[in-house]
Amino acid sequence: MLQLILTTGCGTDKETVINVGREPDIYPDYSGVTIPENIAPLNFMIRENGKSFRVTASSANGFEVSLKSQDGIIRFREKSWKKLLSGNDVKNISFDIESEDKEGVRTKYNPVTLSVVNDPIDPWLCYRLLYPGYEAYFQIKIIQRSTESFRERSVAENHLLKTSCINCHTFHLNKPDKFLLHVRGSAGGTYFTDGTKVVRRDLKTPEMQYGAVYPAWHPNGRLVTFSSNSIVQSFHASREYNIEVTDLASSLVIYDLEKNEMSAVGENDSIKYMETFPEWSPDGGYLYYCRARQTGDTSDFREIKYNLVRKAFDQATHIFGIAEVVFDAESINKSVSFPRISPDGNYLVFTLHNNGNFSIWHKEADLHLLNISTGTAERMSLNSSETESYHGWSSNGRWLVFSSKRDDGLTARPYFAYFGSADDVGKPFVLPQKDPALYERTVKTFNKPEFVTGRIRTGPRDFERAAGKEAEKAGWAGAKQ
Amino acid sequence: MGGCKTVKKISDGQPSIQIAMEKVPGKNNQQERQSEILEKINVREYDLFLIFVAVFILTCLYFYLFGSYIFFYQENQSLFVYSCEYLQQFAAKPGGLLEYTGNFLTQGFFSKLYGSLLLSVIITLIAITFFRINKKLTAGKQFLLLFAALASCVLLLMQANFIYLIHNTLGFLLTGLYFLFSVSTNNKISRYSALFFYPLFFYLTGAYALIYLGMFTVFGIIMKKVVQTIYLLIIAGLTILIFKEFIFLQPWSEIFYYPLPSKDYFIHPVILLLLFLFFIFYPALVKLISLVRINAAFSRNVSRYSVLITFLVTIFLLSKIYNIETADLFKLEKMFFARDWNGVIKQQEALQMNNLVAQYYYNTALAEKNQLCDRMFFSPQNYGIQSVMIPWSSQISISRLFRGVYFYYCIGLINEAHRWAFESMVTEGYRPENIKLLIKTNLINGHYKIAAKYIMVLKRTLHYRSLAKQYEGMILNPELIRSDPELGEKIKLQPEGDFIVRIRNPENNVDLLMEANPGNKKAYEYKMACLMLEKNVEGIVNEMTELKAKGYTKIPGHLEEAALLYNEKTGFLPDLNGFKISSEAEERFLRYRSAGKSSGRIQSPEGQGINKELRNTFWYYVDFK
Repeated sequence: MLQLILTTGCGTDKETVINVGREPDIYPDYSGVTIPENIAPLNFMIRENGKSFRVTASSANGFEVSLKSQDGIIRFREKSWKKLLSGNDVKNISFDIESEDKEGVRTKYNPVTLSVVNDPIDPWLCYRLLYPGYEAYFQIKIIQRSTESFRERSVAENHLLKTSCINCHTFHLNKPDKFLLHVRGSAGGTYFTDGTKVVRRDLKTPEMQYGAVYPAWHPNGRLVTFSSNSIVQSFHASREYNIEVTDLASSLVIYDLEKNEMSAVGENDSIKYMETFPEWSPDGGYLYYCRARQTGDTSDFREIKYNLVRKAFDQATHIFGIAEVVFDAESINKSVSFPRISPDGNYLVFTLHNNGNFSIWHKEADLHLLNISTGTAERMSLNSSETESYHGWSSNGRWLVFSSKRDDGLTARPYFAYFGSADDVGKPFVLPQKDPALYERTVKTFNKPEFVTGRIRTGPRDFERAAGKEAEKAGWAGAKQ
Repeated sequence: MGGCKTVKKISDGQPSIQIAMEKVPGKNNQQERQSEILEKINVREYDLFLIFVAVFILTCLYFYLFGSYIFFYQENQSLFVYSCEYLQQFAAKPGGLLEYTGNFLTQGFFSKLYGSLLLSVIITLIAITFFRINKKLTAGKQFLLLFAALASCVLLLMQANFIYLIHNTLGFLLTGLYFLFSVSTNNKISRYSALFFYPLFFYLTGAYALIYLGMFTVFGIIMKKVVQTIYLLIIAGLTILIFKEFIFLQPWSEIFYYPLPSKDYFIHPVILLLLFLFFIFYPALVKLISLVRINAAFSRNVSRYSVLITFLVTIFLLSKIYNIETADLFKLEKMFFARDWNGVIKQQEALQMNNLVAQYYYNTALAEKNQLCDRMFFSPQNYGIQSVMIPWSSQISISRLFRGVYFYYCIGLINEAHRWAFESMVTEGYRPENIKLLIKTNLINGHYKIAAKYIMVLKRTLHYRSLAKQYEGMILNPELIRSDPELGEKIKLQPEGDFIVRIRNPENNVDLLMEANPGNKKAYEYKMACLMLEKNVEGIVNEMTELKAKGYTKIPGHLEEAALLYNEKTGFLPDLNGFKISSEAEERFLRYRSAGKSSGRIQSPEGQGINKELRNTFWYYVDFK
């Protein structure tokens, strides 16, 4: 609906204002999203015609800030933004946007409103920045980015590590001082950090057929479970898909950080399975993971379906129980990957897709929320028509971060969604950038975003130094049943 | 010394020249004085001018008339983007700005006149700079010109190599200039101040600063400037340490080598080592040669002839470096990149290059025109299936493999073409060809948002801006993609169903593609080409039943030849789906057989007795290849 308003100014000039009766097209889309009060300024671009734009951001706390722009790029000053969001009574903020064309005709849009909640988001986010490539990799960085500002620091860079591949950065309980990452290639090994100390270890023992891949820290901070996988990558001919990553075989192993010792997570079942993507319950009593029937090397990759299963774990004896299926995806002809449990242990979010376990190249991959006590799972409202994957919980359990390819179908961006309860999940919003056009421009992908509760103190040179030392070889403790 | 300087004009039948002479107290012998004056002849301006002009003309003529193919190659090795992000990539490492400048200048390599003039100016500046360095090192000696000519000729020879980039020569020029700057003054404070700028010089030129460090150290040792040398070594050490540990996130290997010429591509890395050593020991060489005492009467001639010999040797070496096959190949590649298929076909049929890339381009050009089965044997086919498709190997650098992308693009396996282009962009950075292919493959696949990102890159370049705008128009109106002769055709060639691409044995993709899109005539042409290259006559005739279904109105020439060969062998013709072998083909086959008999295959294993027309056949390929 178009509404034409004619007003008379102070002088003789008449001002034409058109009210278009809709919200303006802004990028990133922040309309109706739920944000924490400690989030960095949500800079955005106005994608409407006009020679100049005016934005008035107002808060329920009474604070108001006005900005003008010629190119439609709106950048808030951090100080003003913080004032806008401060105050316990803040429930929402709104952006009133107006554009003006060459003839001086002003167009007014409906306000864009955002909900603000008092539950803070973890102050740092750590992700892998790289080209969403196929076989070749060149520049891979692990980046830590403040969620409260635009501060950004590099944690590890592969060109300091003989251009090896860096992957699987995983934190112990979102702590900045305790995490691990893998490096493949000539500087290969698993690098563990403890404060500012970095050690390089070779976790592959002669008893293991394949190297340690996907990790999960036990809450005690001493044990880490890994899947040990043989992975192949292939390429689709159809325009709908790009890459297929498939396991030929996989099993679980458990690593004792103090003893530098590996052991098997034994399987009692007579059926041969592939096991991957371990995840510990917050109390350390259960190991969740994805499991598929071993279909053999020659089978069609589309037949591989993973279920979500778990095993009880006796923390005193380190003995595992019998595997029990938690979510039977195979029965609905689907497959599960990336289980992540909320810090309170009540919910588990996983990715559901058509087949296999590497959902990041599956357009249909969506996040599902499993209520652990009832065993029921539902597709979450935060999904899009493109891939959603690689999710994680904030330390307070109120925020989810996940990789979404909703912008262009190829490059993943970190999206945050508020998690008030199973029935109260906010509309997600992308990690704000100082230059809001960055996502439109860059072909690099923001891979595996992880919340971190503080600034990571180790940097690329620490990893470089650790790479210069011989990797400490892990031993094998034998199977533990 | 107490001597005073006078400037005296003499005339010896040559143009008027100036001689700097010194009055040496205590020496009265007239002859001795005359001899010393002659010995201290600096350089006659006329000679100097001639040499600089000669360097300029030699460089300009070589690159304009012969070496212009390096411009095409180098222009395609980088894509200079007018953006802060592009600048930041280079500014983030010592020496990056030198490469950035080189890439900026390389943009103009579209024009061989620009390229030749630019290189001539740089090489001449090197001659001037090193001449001035020589003057500082050995005032009054006869080899000043020789060494100036030598420095510029060495770099001219390096630059004649197509993999040696312009920033490498610029690096040596800046090294020379900074060296000249730091030895120009006798004032200690000024000299220490000059050395103080070393960190900035290191940041700008990267590892060239290490060559400078070597030069100055050698200079310091021979001139006994120990304190200055130690001062510079301390500054250099601190610079390297601070750069590495606090400022730049670069590995040691990059700090110590970037952006010197890439070792990977030089067939003889020792050449690079000699080049570096030549410049590092340059001050010592100049000083050493100045010790050679030559009769003053011959001094000028020695100077002239040594330079002349240097030029002659340079010209001789340039003729050795110049490779006509490489020049022809780049000419072919230029036409290929411009999708001038007729030009590619004509050139390869005329030159009959035995190079794999030339044959691959020829076959791809034929495939683009649906003529593979008609004339692929009009050019040599020496590499079997590899001359129509290059298999992927993660062990081989993408820069060497990249050309393999055109097979996939031509045949309509767009996802795979995208993959190759993407791998190239990731490892080699932005290049005109990989960006263009990324745009085209994304437009064909309907991934407009991704295409827009690459279009944005192309839009910020000097030469490809208009092309970017053309693609941008396609995003706004996708109907333009479907109606575009190139992109529209590729959309139709794409597989309708999905399959996993075979990367090790690319010929298997042809069958899979034919199954996924039976209407793909190019896939059929490739299938037949592979069978022909494998000399699988039975396989060829079995597939000929598909001719009509694939839209042919007559049997392509080489397939007729295969059918006749089959007939000769088995005594009956294959099912030709209603088509008939032309009488011309039958008559030609008779001629071929009789030519073969008369030439005698045993005596003449390469079939020399067979005329050119009959060599352009599948028969000849089967019999003699």
